[in-house]
Amino acid sequence: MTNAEEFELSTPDWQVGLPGDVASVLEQFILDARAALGQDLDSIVLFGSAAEGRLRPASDINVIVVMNRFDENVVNEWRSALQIHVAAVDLQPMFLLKDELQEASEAFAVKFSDVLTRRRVLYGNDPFSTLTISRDATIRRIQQVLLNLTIRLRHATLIFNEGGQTHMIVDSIGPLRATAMVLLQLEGKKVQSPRDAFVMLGNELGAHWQSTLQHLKEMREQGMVVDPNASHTLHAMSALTALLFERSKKLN
Amino acid sequence: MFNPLDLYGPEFLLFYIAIAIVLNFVFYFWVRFSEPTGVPDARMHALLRDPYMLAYLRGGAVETIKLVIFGMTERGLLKPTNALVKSDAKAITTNNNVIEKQVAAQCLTSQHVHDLAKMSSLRMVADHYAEPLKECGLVASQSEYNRRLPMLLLIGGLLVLLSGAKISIAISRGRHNIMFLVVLSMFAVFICWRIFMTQRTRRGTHALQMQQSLFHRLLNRVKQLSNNGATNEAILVAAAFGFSKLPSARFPLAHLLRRDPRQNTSSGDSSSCSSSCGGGGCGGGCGGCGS
Repeated sequence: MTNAEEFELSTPDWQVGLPGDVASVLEQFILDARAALGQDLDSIVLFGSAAEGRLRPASDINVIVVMNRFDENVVNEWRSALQIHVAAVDLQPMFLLKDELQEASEAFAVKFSDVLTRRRVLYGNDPFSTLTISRDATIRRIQQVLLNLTIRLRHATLIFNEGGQTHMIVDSIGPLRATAMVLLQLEGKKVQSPRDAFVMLGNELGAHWQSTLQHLKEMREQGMVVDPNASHTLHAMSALTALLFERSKKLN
Repeated sequence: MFNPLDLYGPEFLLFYIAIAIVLNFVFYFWVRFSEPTGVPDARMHALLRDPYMLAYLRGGAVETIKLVIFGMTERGLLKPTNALVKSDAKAITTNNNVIEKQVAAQCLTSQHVHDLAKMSSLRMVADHYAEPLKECGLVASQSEYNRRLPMLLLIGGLLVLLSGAKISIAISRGRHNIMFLVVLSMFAVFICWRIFMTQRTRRGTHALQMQQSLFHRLLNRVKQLSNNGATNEAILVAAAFGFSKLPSARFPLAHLLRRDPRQNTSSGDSSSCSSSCGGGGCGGGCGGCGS
């Protein structure tokens, strides 16, 4: 079924807060996915900042396409249309089999905790409505992400120039905020979004950290504008990562 | 009663210029606004997913060949050395795309990218992209040219008739300083011919604008695009907007493809026009900057 008139949205208000061009590309993406995958398509879920209706001009659009099976011959016909949508709005689709959901959510617990917090179902039934991620897996993954970030930030401090360091900072803010959100949630705090997590952390940690977190937020919003004090910011970010890592140890 | 043929030389030239501008404007708007329009359909959308097709719509065969060269280089199928590109036999045998196969065959020995873009054999292959575009009404078909022909003959005929009458009067009065008028009338008829030959239809222009609008966010992150050929994003930018939108530092070949570096640098402005207008797709607009 490819006719728009026959197309029923599972969540009628999923377009609310999305820019018109993004909504229109997503609409076409859903139609094409349905036409290409047919019965193999289980659901499509939007997550991240787009699901919150807080897209920045430089934001990518994160979606999870849940499939019943992955038939290369079938999906090949979808490739050219898909590549256009990916290019048009920086669509970042993750293709998952329904059977893989539980394991994937345990393996990438931080990302999937974010999905559980911020998502809009674009098509099909909500595959995450009954999904639970174990506390142990989440803690393990938080520590893994923070340790990985620590090592990468250390590398950037020693090797990269301001341009590379800025790139590293801007790329790392998203994962760091998402990790902070999940960590705060595990600490029993009510956090609705990664952005709120940084606000809450700033309030907890005091004025010095508030200004650091505000600076990171501004850098993320500006995109890849080279920060002449990038090494200083990187140092502050490393300190924040270390602080979160120490807090994560207390969760065990 | 006012008889323009009684005007003296400079006055008549001014009158002729005014008439040529008015008639060419009338012809241009007639061509543009009498063309059939229509809503974009699924087939058109599917066609323009192909970057080579999109490049043809924007700039004709030359732009398509340039995009093929750029795309193949990005994907590692052509090896660039400055403005020269070279392929190996594997790029021919493993490729199913006709135009890529042809480009690879031509590049078994090193070729300058601008020589490739002008190669008539490649242009003939690239012109195959016109057929589906014609079927969708995005590029003028033979029937569209047939529709325009009477108007070309009328407007062009008026321009020639007017200058011809004045020239014959001047000669009959023993004046031979007619060169300005001859050149002017040739130029006016040339503009008329360019309008007649405009390849991209109104519907095609609308479709191109729609694709450009679809990719406007891609332009915002063009500086972050990877040049490792893993995705088609840089190719899509070049197809929809031209090579000038790609950063030269990251895509040096795109910079070279914009204009032939062997040409005299003083002709920079005119070459940027030809690059964006390509196969006559921009019609009247190019008349303004090309001359």
